[in-house]
Amino acid sequence: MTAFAEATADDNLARAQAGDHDAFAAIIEQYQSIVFGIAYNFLSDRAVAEEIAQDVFLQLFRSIAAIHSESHLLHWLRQVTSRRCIDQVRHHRLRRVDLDETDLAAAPRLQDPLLARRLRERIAALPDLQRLILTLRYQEDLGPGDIGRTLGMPENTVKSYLHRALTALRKEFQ
Amino acid sequence: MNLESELREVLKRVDPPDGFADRVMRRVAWSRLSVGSAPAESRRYVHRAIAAGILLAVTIGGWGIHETLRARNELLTAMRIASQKVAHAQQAVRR
Repeated sequence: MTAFAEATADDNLARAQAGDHDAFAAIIEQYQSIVFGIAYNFLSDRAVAEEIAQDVFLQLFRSIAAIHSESHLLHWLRQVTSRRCIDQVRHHRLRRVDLDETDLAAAPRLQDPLLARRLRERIAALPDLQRLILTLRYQEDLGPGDIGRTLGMPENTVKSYLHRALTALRKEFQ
Repeated sequence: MNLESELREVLKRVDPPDGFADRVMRRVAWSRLSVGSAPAESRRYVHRAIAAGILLAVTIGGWGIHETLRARNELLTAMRIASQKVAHAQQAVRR
């Protein structure tokens, strides 16, 4: 993020904390692809991803006074979204979605759509934590240390999950 | 195939359906109309008032119980005295 964009984000944050709804709406616009993206890439279900993303921003509205910077806001959003996703699959026993049923319109298109589809299917079949760590690694470009801080787990554990996920995918594709 | 670059492509950030921010802001407005509408300071006063009310009810209730027990004890004492007097009267009649 550029210095100007960061200043605007901090400005929006300060205004939202003072009760400015337009500033809060601007924050939603700015971060919605991160929150919705994590939920969608983890769950492969647009409707549930939207529900989770709405809940996350509603929770942000209630907790906005506790956010002290743009980087804190970003960390908070990733952390709360990740927790909500894990809660969703643990408590609501979300059925595994067959990719034939999903709306792939939201998914980015690779040059080879068949390959993209196979890759998404393999990612969807990974265990929950591996899938979430993979999402944070490749969607958000976070390193193992940052992922560990987001999910509250040791860096070495993150590395181990990441290694297992990549090994499983390499077996399929190489 | 470079797996890592394919993963970056497949797991890109995704925009939610159009109107997402409006839908969230509607929920925010609803939540403000319900419990969350009162500012923190006035909610604190409401909580204090409820706590004071409960304390008052407990105090009055306790005082009420105390008064009831006192009245019961007085009644028992009066009945004991009356019963003794009746016994004395019966003895006097027998004599």
